[in-house]
Amino acid sequence: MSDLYANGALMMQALAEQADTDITALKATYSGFARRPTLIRSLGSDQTSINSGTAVTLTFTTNSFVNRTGWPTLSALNYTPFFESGAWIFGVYLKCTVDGATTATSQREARMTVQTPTGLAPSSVQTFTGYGSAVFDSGVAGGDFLTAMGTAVYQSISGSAANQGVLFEFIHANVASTMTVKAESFMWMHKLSELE
Amino acid sequence: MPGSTTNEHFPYPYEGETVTAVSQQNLATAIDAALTVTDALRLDALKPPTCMAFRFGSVAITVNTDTAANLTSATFNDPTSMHSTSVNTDQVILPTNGIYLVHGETNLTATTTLTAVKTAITQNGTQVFAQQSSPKSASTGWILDTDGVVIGQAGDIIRLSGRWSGTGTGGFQGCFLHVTRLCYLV
Repeated sequence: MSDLYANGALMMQALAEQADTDITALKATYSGFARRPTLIRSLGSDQTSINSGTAVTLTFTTNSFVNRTGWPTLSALNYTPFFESGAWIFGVYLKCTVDGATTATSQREARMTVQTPTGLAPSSVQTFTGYGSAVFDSGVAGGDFLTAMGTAVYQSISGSAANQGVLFEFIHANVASTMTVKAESFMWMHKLSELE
Repeated sequence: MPGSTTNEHFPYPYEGETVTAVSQQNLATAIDAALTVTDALRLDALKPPTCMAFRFGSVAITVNTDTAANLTSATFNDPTSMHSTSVNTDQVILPTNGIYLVHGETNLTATTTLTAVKTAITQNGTQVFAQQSSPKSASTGWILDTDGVVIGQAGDIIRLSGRWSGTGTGGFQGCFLHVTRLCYLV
């Protein structure tokens, strides 16, 4: 009889520990799914004196929100890196103003270019996908506003998570004067899913 | 004195203790409770708060004035506390803290000439992001969308607003707002 009790107790312990392992893993999976890597960065200060006809890189360096430690800062190539492999969605909001005279209905354009390394060295980078959004001077006081959104898949190269990210640029056709992209402008990126 | 597991603290009898119906029931009850919590996490992760509200039809608005859109129809609204199609229809109320993906679009028209249009997203009355443009040629209608994210707290109010500049009378012809949570803040 005592053996039966002992076996019963051991069975219950095994069941409890297996359930503990499985449920803990499930909770971590679901909790992690609701907290996927996300980054929002603003310019932090005005980017001024932008000449017409020349695309300038926007350097978003001030974190407004980040939920992963160790997220890379801007790379040497000034693109904002993804945190890890996966399918990503990203976007940008720009508020821009004219520094002097306005060229009526001239174009303002936000460009987002996904950089993918051809090798492990970040210096060998090619452009493979670009997204953009263009608006025209509205003639309304208070500045012009732009948003753009895109998606990308970030894969490791030869098993290594080589750098890859998004280059954000601004270009305009306001030939009458330079323009400023305001400090509150921000970029964002969020991981949608795993690759496997 | 029973033992318990490391994480969920499921109770089990030690070897040598008497296994009873009560000890078995205690374990079953504890596992059931943990699964209930897990299922809530599953629903929260896979079905985040989402609202898709819209309005079709002409609504006149004052020229050169940012105006919140009244969204009197909805295709999806969960939890229902996010939006009402009859009361305060311009509001989408965030149910939890989080980063929210927001897409808004407006169809703005003018009876004579439309010179500028703007679609904006506001949070508690302050513009978070927007798109603004001018038709390059004479126009009386323009659809403009805007996409971005909002760092939100529970109870924050998100609105879609539009503005037109031009001559004649103008306003919304249609508008659409989609809000869904991407992730928690912590």
